[in-house]
Amino acid sequence: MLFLGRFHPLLVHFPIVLLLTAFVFEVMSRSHHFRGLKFSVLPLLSLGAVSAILSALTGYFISQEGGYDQSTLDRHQWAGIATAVVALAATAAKWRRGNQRGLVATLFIILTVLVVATGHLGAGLTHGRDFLTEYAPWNRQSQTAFTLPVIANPDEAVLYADMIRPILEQRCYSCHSEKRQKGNLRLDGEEFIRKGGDSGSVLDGRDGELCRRLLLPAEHEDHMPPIEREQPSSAEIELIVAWVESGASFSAKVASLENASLIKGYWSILQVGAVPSWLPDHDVAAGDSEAIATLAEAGALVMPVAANSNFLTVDFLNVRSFGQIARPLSRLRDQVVDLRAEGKVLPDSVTSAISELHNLRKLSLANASFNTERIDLSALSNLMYLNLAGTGVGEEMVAGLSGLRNLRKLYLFRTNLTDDAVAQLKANNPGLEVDVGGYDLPVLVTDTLVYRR
Amino acid sequence: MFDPKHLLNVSRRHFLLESALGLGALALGTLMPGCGRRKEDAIRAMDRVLNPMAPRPPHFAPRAKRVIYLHMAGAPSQLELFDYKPELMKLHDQLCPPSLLEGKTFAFIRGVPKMMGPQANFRQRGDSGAWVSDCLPHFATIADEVSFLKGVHTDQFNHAPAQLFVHTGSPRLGRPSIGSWVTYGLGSENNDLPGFVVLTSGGNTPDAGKSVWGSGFLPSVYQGVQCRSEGDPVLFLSDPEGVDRALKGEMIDAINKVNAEHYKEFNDPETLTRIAQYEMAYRMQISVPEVMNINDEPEYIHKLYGTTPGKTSFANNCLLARKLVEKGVRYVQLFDWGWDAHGTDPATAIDIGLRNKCREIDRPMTALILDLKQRGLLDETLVVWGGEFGRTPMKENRDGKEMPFMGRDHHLEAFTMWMAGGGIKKGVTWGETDEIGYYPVRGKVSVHDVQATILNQLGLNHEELTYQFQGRPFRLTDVAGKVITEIVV
Repeated sequence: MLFLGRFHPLLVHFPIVLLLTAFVFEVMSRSHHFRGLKFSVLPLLSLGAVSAILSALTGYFISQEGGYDQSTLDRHQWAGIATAVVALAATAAKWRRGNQRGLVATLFIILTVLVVATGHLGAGLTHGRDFLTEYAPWNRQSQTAFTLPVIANPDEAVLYADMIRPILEQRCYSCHSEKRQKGNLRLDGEEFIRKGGDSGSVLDGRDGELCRRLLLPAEHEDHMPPIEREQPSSAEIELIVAWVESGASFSAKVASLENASLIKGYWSILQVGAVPSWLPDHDVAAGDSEAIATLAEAGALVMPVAANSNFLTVDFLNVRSFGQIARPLSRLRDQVVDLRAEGKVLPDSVTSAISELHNLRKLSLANASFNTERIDLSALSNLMYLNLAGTGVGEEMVAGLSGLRNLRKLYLFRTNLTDDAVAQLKANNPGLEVDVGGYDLPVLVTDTLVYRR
Repeated sequence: MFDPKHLLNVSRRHFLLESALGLGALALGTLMPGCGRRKEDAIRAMDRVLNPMAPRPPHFAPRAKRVIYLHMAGAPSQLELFDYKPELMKLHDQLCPPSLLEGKTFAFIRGVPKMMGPQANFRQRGDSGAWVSDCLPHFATIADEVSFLKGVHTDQFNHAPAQLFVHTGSPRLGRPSIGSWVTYGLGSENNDLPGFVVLTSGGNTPDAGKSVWGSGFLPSVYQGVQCRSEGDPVLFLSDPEGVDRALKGEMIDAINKVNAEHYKEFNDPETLTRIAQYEMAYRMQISVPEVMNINDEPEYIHKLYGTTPGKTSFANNCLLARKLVEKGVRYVQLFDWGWDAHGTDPATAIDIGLRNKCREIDRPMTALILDLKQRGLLDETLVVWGGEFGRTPMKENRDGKEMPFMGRDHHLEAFTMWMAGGGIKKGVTWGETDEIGYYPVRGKVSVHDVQATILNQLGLNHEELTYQFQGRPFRLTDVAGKVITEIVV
């Protein structure tokens, strides 16, 4: 019986296509133009009814395997049976012909609604209830990328609630929670996790089903999450394994566990260095190709930041004369996000054009000479990285720099800003990293100590 | 104007090339009418032939624009530098248990060797608590800047194949090196400098020879250019005696004129490539000596790196690497020879030669990171450090005999590498070996994983950067490789 049940996913497509086509043909055949189609309706409808009955039967068999959301299953089951019955009735009505056009039409409309409803519920069973609407334009929040909470003091965190559950939620809940219970397993709560699934307990140390399946190679049939899903990183897996090996407590704090240092290590790997992507969220219109060509002719490297992006990165590395640069550069003010003018003598026109690049995220003027009065940082509010190393700029830049709220990295090696000014910039913008350089390595005895036999 | 006589001059090779480009572009145009990009695609394909080093956009927005790869040829001992194993100390001089030897082949160990404890003092450094030994006192102060990979493994136990594996993705000859793949994928930024430069120190080139920076089946323009810090930076770069720059210029002009005539007759794009190469070589005669000259660097820089101009040293090469990436060179490969600590003589003894090698690299590589950092270059420059494999927790007993000095044999199961800058997390240690440093127990990564990560930082998908050769698309990581997301920002 279970074997026959496995034919259900194959068979269900027949009644859907046959019954819907029969409906469409029936409607069309009422027009004079397509009246020939009326001869096709009965065969389609009969075949559809037979396949609907077979689908309902095999559907009942496959439901015996279990693992489906019961309320959805019930509704799908009754909708399926109703579809088969109404399809039979419609066939009978059509068969009798006579003056029953009204009855046939009514039955057809009911049947179409039932087919759509049954199909939708059935798809919800296999793909999950939110499958259809997951990426719908009105459903934006479900598209967010994998994120973990920031934990200030990992020692005091409850391992399960603060670290493990957020991972399970984003990696496992779509198939093992209230929504669906593949393999009769739910992972969205202590009692469910303790209960396990069809393959038994999931918490038997490293060899338990949870760790075993996570640790299998992704290509292995038993590996979880299935290979077609987004895979957790090794550090996430190791963290879950460390939790299970520490006894899978649902209330213990990290500090109280024997392998606390290991757990904190994995957690720190998942936390460290999470910086926002430096590109703007939305792409822009393509830059003016004439302006790009003029810049390139003047020796500037003008490159899309990535193959499918309209944002541009511009480098003046090979530029020898800046005569033809300013005008095309300001025409690309929406597109340029990354600009390097290292070691160049910039005429005022170019400095002013740079000040217009409102989308700029990275700007390197290292070792460049330019008129600081002509650079206006106020328009560059999106700037995240600014390199002024070797430019010798001084106090005159402080006011402009203080206005850059999004700035994350500022390089001031070999400039004339005072320590006070730097401290003021840092106080103004707590997220800012300032590097004033001037690093030195002490002279150690070992620097010159030659080891001999 | 089309002259049918041209057809008489078309060689088979030329015809095939033209067909591939011309007919291919034509077919594409017919298949996709109204597709706005088709013209650009055809132009781009043509452009790769005419100007192979033209910069090209990466697959996705990159974290790093340039790479400096520091390769310690001969394979440094992870057990004396980064992988602290106090348990191994307790087993010092005891016989190795047979379970570690069964089914294994070693380069030199025969019979049953003795275990050997770490021959250095370790301490946890910085806020990250990474273990670094006192062999690298300067580097220890910047441990928070780098990410360590403690569980790298390889499958080659001899130097040459293992070096080829690390740099070309295959232990056998014929594959392009990482730098070649990178310049093939992204082109070169500086018009006057090669995109892929190789610098060697330690008195020898790597065992695998120049194939570790070769271009394999990629067009030969993508191979690494070896530069020297003594004498001419590139061999035969200076004009020969009696030939001045003006005469050389006239000579190149004349050659290019002949080539241009030749192109008019045959229409072979390779001729244009040749003209461009002559012109670049002429420009490089000025630009390469300029960038390779460290005499003009200020005194505090020489003190920081410990450099002595005019010598060949790892320190000089580190400073040169900084100068090269500053000038937009895409991939700088350093090889430092002399890390093969077998214990056959004092120079290869773990407690003598290895310590001297450590002293030679400690200050320069630390200075390199700090100098890149203060110039704002570290954010977009990926620095990679490693050898071709690791060293055994057992003391080497060549031919089953006691060695005159303490040494370790080649070890493939686990060794340590580090990466810094270019979108790599700071202060992460990923991977862990067992109590004696024999096998990785967590965070085991392969040579291909490291390569996939390097390409990933440059905005290249290692599965998409391919080259059609011998009937199938080839890639650096072949059919393996997974980006090590744990150390990537």
